[in-house]
Amino acid sequence: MSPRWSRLSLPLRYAWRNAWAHRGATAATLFGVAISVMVYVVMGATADSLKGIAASTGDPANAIALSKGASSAESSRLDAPTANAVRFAPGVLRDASGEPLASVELLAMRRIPIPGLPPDDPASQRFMSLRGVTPAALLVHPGVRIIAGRFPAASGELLIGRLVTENLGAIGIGSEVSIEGRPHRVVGVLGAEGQFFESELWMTLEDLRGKSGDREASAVVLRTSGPAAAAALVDTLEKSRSVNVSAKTEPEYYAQMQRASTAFVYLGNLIGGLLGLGAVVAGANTMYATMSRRIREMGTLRALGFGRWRVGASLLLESTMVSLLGGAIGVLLALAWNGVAFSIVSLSFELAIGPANAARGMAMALAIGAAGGFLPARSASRLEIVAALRHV
Amino acid sequence: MKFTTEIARQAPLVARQLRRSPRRTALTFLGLVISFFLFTSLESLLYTMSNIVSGASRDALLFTRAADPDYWRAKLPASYAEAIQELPGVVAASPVRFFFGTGRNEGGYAVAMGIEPDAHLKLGIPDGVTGDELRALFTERDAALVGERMLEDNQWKVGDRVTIGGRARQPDLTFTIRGDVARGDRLDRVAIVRLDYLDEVLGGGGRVSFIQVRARDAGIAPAVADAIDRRFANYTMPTETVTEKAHIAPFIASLSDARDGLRIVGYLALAVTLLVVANSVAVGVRERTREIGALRAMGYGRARVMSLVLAEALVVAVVGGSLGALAAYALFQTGRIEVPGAGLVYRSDLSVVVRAALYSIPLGLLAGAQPAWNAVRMTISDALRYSE
Repeated sequence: MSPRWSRLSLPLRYAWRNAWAHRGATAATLFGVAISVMVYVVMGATADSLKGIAASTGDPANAIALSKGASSAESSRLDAPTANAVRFAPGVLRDASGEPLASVELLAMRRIPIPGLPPDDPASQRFMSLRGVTPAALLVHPGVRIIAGRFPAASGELLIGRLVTENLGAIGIGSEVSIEGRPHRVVGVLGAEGQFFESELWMTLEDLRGKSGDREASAVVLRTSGPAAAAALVDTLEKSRSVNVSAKTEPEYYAQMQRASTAFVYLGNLIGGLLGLGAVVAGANTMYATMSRRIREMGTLRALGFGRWRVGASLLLESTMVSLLGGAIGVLLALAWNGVAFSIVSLSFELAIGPANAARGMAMALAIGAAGGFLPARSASRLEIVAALRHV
Repeated sequence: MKFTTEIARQAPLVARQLRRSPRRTALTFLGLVISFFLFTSLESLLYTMSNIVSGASRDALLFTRAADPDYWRAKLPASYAEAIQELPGVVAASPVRFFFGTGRNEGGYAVAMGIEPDAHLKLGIPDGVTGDELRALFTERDAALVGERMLEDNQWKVGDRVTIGGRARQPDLTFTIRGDVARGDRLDRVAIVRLDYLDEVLGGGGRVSFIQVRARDAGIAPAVADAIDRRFANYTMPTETVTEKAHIAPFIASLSDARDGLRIVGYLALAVTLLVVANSVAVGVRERTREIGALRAMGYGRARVMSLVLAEALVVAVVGGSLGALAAYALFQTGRIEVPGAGLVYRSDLSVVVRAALYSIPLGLLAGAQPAWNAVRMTISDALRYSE
């Protein structure tokens, strides 16, 4: 071991031992940092998951046509002739039999009673997205797979998203769901790789039309050969004189759905920030206490030849070490939430905590440790040897 | 009496102890202020969310809509309002028609609400609307009262003549802004116009989105709701009458995951604070072990020494906690702090602050318990000989 290395190794071990010597205070700081980091990571991951849903739902090869002026499919209304005309727009892919790969869809939000609970109690109802579709939907939404059962074939049949159970309880194939007082039987379950569709109830287009008064369709989703073709199709539809619709590529359309994640980014930063600030204060308090208890010891170290900065650095090191350990615990606690399903109004999603979230959490822990240790370390490095040795 | 004189006798000792290490006291205090600020903020947010429901239900307001899922598409005959008005227990019935258009920003929604002024005012006057502004609504056909947040979103001001663009082949709606509805009112994001004017612009008069009804008091509201629905049961357009609470309840219930999450985070913040205070008091007690030994040698009993330490923890916790809670209250009381993306304006209430501040009492006692016990656990001679 080189002499330089042995000199450096002292503060590190020294810092560890010292942290252990006052484990009560260390544990308090550790806990504070762990909780702050956990909350920060979970809130950040929620925001990322929401953004991820929007990003993964938009297929760059798809274009979506809505009624003029409508900003979302829920508020759009297309009449049947217009919807049909849009299907045959130039640039839309065709299947082997020459039928356009286009899905006419009707979207509606409805209050659905949770099966098994009293249906008239408003607190046991949930707002759910209903989507009226034809089998063409499976051709234009490549992420959607039927993971159990089958596609609805008749009125009164439902294909439910995998995560619908988050809102409506443990329902599956064969369960009955009441929609506007009429029983509907679940005949299939769909999975969609983290897309919006996993929180929706799908039924036949005719079935939902029957529940929507004079609304015939809300959107037509059109499959093209690629992003450039989709953009060209959007342009054609926007300029078209024969059909009066507004069109967007799917990624453009779903990008505006990301707004919901803003609230979580904000709350995550605010709550994580305040908790982190609390942890900085707790850490600083602990380190000041450590310092005042060890003033004579620090004087001795200085007398033995350790430089000012090294004595201060050992305090900073101790604070950072404890904080990083707390951060690691916080990240582990946050990982316990990985894959847990949450729902916000009608949208359900599974929380995905990735390396980027963990890294941000550890960066926060590092910042807490450095901030909490900085002032005590500066005070320690300013101690005068003689005064410190005389300290009672 | 004995208790108060005891407190008076100990107060200088507690104050002196807190001054002994000003830096530690200040840091502990700061930690308390931060976490009680956070706790009160989260509780205020929960209050805001639940108040959407309970605030609406207090007024015995009912919501009569067509028994049809697309009720907002203005299908209910406005004439129902007169029939409802005749029913016993009904104070006022006001037909309301909604118009969803585009404001100044392309793509953003702008909502106008057509009302019959005299009927609607019996339901209550929106916050911040003055007599002159009301008079304008009565006398000018195309006057509007616009919510402050809508004014801000569209960069409009009172006196402007503005247009909400029609969507999906609907005509545009132009009106003159004659007054504003205060921020924080339920109508702070809509433009209130006269129903007759809205009908004239949109056509299809005589049909409304819903009828808002005020029952004489909240207790009879459910019976009134039943009576209304029975009245129209055999009509071609039957009604469904619910309290506003019932109308919004499914939405609030759908937010339960978010609410649970916020509540848990709030309590975690308090748990962290508990440790911060406990740690700080423990350090203080350890530092003055010998002094405590001396006090006991002079005749201070165990109970009195413990109460000294507990009082110290309690004072810091209660003062710091209350200050943090009040700071959050002062901030949210302005009604200007909003959660971006959620469209929620923070609201708070003194009850939220008082409850948060009360939490500081058990927190202080819990934080002081272990150090207080440590202070009296040693024998007097050990304490006098103690060195760190």
